[in-house]
Amino acid sequence: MIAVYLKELKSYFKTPLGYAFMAFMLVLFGIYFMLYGLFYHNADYSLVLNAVTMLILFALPLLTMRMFSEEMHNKTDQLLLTSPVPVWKIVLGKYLAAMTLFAIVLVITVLQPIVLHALGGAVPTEKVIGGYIGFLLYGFAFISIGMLISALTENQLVAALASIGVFMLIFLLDGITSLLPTSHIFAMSCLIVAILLLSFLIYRAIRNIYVTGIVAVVGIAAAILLFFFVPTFYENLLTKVSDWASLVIRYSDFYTGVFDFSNVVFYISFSVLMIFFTVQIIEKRRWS
Amino acid sequence: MIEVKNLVKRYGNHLALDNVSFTVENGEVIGFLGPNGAGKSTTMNIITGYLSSTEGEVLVDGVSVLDEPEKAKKKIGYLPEIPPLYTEMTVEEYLLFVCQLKGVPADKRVETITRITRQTRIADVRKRLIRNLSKGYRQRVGIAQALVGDPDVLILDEPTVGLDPKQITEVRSLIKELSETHTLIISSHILAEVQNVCTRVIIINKGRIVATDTPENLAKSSVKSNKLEMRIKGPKNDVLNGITAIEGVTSAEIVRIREEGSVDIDIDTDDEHDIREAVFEFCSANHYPILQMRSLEVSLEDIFLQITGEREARRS
Repeated sequence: MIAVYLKELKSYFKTPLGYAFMAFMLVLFGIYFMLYGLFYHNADYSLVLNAVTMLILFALPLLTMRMFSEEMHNKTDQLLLTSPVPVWKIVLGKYLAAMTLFAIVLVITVLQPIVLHALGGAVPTEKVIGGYIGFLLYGFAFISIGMLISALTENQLVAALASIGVFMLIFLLDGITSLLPTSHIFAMSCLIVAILLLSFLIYRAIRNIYVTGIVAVVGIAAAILLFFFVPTFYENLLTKVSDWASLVIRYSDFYTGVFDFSNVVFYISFSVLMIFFTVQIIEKRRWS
Repeated sequence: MIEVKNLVKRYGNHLALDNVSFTVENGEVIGFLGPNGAGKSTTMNIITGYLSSTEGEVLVDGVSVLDEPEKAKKKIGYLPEIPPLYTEMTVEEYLLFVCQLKGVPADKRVETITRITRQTRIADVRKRLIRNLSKGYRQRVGIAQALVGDPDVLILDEPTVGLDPKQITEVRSLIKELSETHTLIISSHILAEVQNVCTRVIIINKGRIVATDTPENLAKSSVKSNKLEMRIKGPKNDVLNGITAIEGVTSAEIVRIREEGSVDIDIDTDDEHDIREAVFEFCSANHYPILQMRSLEVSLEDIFLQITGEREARRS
């Protein structure tokens, strides 16, 4: 795992990608630091952290697009996968390397609040530290998604564009759900669609039509029963779910100064889940 | 020792491997032959644990590649068809990475790299970027990579494909050297490649093993026809008619005319007769000088074509 980690980290600095990523990130931070800190004389650095949240989603694919795509394209994955190292260690090594580069950038930006402080600004220290922790977790979660996408294609460009697309979708999801109809019928239909989708995935995984059928029928029956007997279940269901699952809304807690431990747990579990899926995708390719 | 038992590999509806079984004893050098797309690489990828088989299993020294992959993979060095090289690294960095990956202890890495680069004769390019190396060197870096971790078994997938003649000789002599200390499986679609080094040849076609034997036995058992290649000076038709009349000749044909006034003839004979003396008698009696006479040896190429062709004929 350490071997893969070190190799990945070094390769970021051997290709222009690592530098491009760092430059992109630092320019973003620099612009907002100038705006808020220097022009508007606002010492609340968490504003900067908040302002760049969407824009860094364009930078992160630089970090993740080549992770597995390049290995597959150059067939170097044959070396990794025939070496006596389990797949999860390879995935984790790569993930940690990307995390490290992301963290390095953030460490560099810490200079900015320090400068604000040195210039006599009243930097809200706890809030900024909380914001940084949230920002790290937020970044790690998106890196894990990018990694997953990279394991799906051997074309780096496709991986990058797909990542940006998915990132944007996730970012805009909250806005989209608030526009959807709020009627119970619509919420129930969405739930049923979700159950069908889940059943399809189960079928793909185990190829057993009976188990899948039972899951689907029981799920849909439950959804319809809920509709008639516990209608409150569907009250704002979509918004509740999307708020709960949103990588973005949870981040806003951090920068507004709320440190909720459940948010930390959520981000970490989310990343672990993505790593797990990545491992599964790579394992599965051997079987197909 | 490698035991391959009843491997089946399906890609969707396509059957890439159809019940492939063979055993490789320690110290054997196996030539794995087949036309492109016959399932050589698939088999090798399954043995090394890169792919999983749909059915069947592979045991390396009794260890299943599927159940205990780490343990089994440690015993195998693998050079895939395309050497898995990180082109932005130098040779030394690359081999160091492979050492780490294969768990060579930290204090032995430098020694290992020195030994292996010397053995594969890439010591002079250690500091160079792999990207800038010629194909022959890259191939040898690929072999060096397979040697890291001292595996007993080496699996080389088409090790000389795409190299120039000089590089081919170099890689071949390296393989010859390695065959003295390792159990080797070499795949190829060129038969001359394996003829010299291999103790046993496995021929695979369309996912099935069609023949397995020593190169010599294969030559003996499979093809019985004898061939002579001749160049005789004299009038075309008279020479041809005369030779066709010799006892034992099953067919004779003029293939080309290279020298003024002479003809090149290919002669097929049956098994009982050695016609070389009779041909000489005939030519000297008629004063047709023999410029060239060569009996064609049966090459693995012929056997190969014959075996794979027979199967196809039988099927259709």
